[in-house]
Amino acid sequence: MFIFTNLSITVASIGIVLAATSFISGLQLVRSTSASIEGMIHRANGYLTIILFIVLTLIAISSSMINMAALLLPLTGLAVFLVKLWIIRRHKRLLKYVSWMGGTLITIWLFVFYVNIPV
Amino acid sequence: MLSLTALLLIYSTIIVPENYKTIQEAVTNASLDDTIIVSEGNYKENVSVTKPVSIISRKGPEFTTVRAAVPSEPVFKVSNVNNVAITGFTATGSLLSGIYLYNSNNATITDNKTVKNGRGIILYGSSNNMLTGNSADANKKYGIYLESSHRNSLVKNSASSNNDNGIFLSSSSYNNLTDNNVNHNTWNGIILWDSSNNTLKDNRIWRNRFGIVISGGGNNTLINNSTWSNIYVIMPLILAYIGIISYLVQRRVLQTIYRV
Repeated sequence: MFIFTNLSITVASIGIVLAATSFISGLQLVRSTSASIEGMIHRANGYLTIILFIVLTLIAISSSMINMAALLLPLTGLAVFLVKLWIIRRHKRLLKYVSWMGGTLITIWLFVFYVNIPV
Repeated sequence: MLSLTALLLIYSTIIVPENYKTIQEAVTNASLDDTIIVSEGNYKENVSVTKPVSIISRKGPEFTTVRAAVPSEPVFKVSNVNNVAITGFTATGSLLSGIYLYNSNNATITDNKTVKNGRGIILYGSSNNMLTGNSADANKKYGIYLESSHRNSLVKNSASSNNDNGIFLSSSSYNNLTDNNVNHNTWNGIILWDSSNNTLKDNRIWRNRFGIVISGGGNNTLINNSTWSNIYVIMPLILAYIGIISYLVQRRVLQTIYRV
């Protein structure tokens, strides 16, 4: 019925699916023997969620009545994402924390879903 | 459009700004039961209606905005008169109200946007009025407020994102609230205060602090109102589960492609 009645909730729903896929593949990446495949899934889904964070930010900005939560949450997600990338690229000794950041991103997506429920 | 044409044939018509520059001038010079057609544009004035006229915007609320010149007064104030119609305006910028019906009956308020006022629409001592398809959103206090007003119909209106209550009925009876969206208000969605014999049917009252509050009064009828859609509670779990399945599918596809 009234589930996907606006663009934001649709994008947020896709985001949860992609984030869950990326998170599971990220966990498997640590212990998998076929690391390259897990890595591809993890990166592809992860980078797609970046695009969705940007789309959600643009939707929130273009809205006539700016909802601060709908604006700040994708920006927070983007920030966590960039920190995660920075750790992976530059600070390998902090790698043990990235799975927690992946979990944080899933949680952010749940909040993003919640604030974008159509009213 | 047909009804508008019919109106034009029966009663004399005044066009704003062609005949009069302001809506108030047009109302002042109108005869009883005249129709005032307002062209698109931004108008800065407070319109006081004290005779039965129909004020209709030509292109609807997206293109026709009336902003309060005196913020302490309503944008449209209908006082002590019956059979007024206000259709298709955005009324904004009043600390009191976008549309205010005072001791007025049988009015038709249709397809207006009363946003960013003190209150969206106020009915005080007004009965048998019809409010249809209005948006009373993002106001400082209430979306729609009825006091000592009886037998009014509120159908397919929106009273959302207001800073207090969505729809407030105070000492008002025999009103009919049907198919309204009352969402995301800071305090109550719909409150019936010392109000009796009202009917609330098929309203969506989501994500307010409290959905429907009844204090005092009695014999109110609530039929098929929804205060939250349960699907949104379990939806994230379903989506996460789809994500896990998506992972397994992608893994199998890539394993097949790369023969790992």
